[in-house]
Amino acid sequence: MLTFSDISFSYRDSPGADMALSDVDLAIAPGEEVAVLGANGSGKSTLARLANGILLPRTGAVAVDGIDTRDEQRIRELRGLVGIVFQHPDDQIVATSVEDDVAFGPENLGLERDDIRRRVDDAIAAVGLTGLERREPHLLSGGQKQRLAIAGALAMGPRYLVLDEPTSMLDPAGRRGVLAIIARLKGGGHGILHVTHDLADVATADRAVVLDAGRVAYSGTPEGLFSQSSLLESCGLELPPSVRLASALREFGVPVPRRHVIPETLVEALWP
Amino acid sequence: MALTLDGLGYTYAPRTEFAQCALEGVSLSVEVGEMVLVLGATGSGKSTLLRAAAGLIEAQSGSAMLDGSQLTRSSARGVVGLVFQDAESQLFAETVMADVEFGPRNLGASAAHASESAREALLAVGLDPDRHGARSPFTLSGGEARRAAIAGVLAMRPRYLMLDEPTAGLDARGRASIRATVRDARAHAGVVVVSHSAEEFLGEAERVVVLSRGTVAYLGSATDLIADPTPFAAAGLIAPDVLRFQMLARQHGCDPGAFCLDPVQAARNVAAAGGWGS
Repeated sequence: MLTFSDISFSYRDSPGADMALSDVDLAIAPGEEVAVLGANGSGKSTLARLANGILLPRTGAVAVDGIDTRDEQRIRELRGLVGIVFQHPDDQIVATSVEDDVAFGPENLGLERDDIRRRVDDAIAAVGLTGLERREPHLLSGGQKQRLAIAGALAMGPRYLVLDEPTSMLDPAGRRGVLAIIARLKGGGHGILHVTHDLADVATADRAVVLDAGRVAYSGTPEGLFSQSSLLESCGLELPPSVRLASALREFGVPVPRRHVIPETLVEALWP
Repeated sequence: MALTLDGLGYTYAPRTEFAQCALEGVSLSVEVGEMVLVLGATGSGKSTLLRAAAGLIEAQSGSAMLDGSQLTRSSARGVVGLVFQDAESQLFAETVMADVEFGPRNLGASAAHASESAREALLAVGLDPDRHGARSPFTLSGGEARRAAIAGVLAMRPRYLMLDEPTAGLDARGRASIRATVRDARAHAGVVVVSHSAEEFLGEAERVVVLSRGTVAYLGSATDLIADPTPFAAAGLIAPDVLRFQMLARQHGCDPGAFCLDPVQAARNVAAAGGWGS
């Protein structure tokens, strides 16, 4: 389990400083996807950075499979368990070919050549970039770059992945590809903390958590969240057209299955 | 008064082994008061087109006219304003006010005149010159910083305003404020918005240009594109979810009639066509 136990965090040390996060409780099990939503400045990226000890909580504790992120002796082990992928794919690419970029992390661990090769091939396959191993990263599309960043995290063999707005800079096709990879990783047993401000991204998450000014304003199912329009508005979130379409269809008596918001799957369910 | 590009062609690194054709035979025109939306996948030439329209690069073929005379780098100066993608990363001055004043000062405006233009521009993007003006640009939220960057261009009072992916990466509030800013800018300017996501501006634009690998795959009214969204797929783009649902419903024999962008209206039409509810 990746657990945040009653944590608070502030970027300044002084008493009375603005809290970026207050009293947040959250747990993610392997094979589970928890979506964390919120407007810009709600504290969701701070939460992501607390997950593997980049930041440490002021009060409360963050633990990964029982290892406290404050435990300096085990920080390497902990960072291996939690991979983080950020919003801008360009900021995370270090090498001049796809495979070298993915190999960067495992090489730093000082692993055997064969082990590195296997990790790199597996990670590249897991994100659907097989065949592009020698490609220069700057020639990839935005969606491919983001999948490369995910492969780089996967090559470290993490049990949990923290994705901080992985789709917000992507075009619709790139976004769809990244969401498909997330679903596949979840199915493969990774615990996923998916930070986003787009409600269309979270329809298939197991749980949705909304942060508002650093506090948990909602924690529950995505469907439950979609029906709370005044809460969404006060938290600076908006229902995307696909979600509004699905709930309007339901209102007009169309038998739309739960969690179906993508037009193609909606249509498959309605006209099998 | 119009900015008109006709049959534009542009190749990067021409006559070298790295030559890459970015635009071929592309036409586009925008008049003061209207909005043109340019859609296209990554690498389709959208940003190159915007740079040509702003006079930053000179096309190798075709013509570019600005209010009846040749569009050049110097004639575009102060007349065509370009807001780059991730514009907030280019904020540099110590205060927001100084940053927004930079453009008019650079065009030769007096300090008083530049300050007046900057205040006006900040108000136009919904920022308070007194409250936000004195702050460092680096303390602004994502949406505020993007608006400050747009204000920096508006302060030069351009007759044509070009925006490259103005809402990318912003949350709902940030995107709504940018849309309002762009809508208001039409009172004094012709606006060209480049985006990879049609959902954001399709409902507001008069005309749409869809680019595919440097050529025009669609040029026409937004209304016609909503009525027949097939050019999206032809250009390798995904049509907005609500339109795609209506197209798929029609393919399955459930014809909702004329397509619309509004999700509730679309749901009503599909429900009625399929005989649900009633």
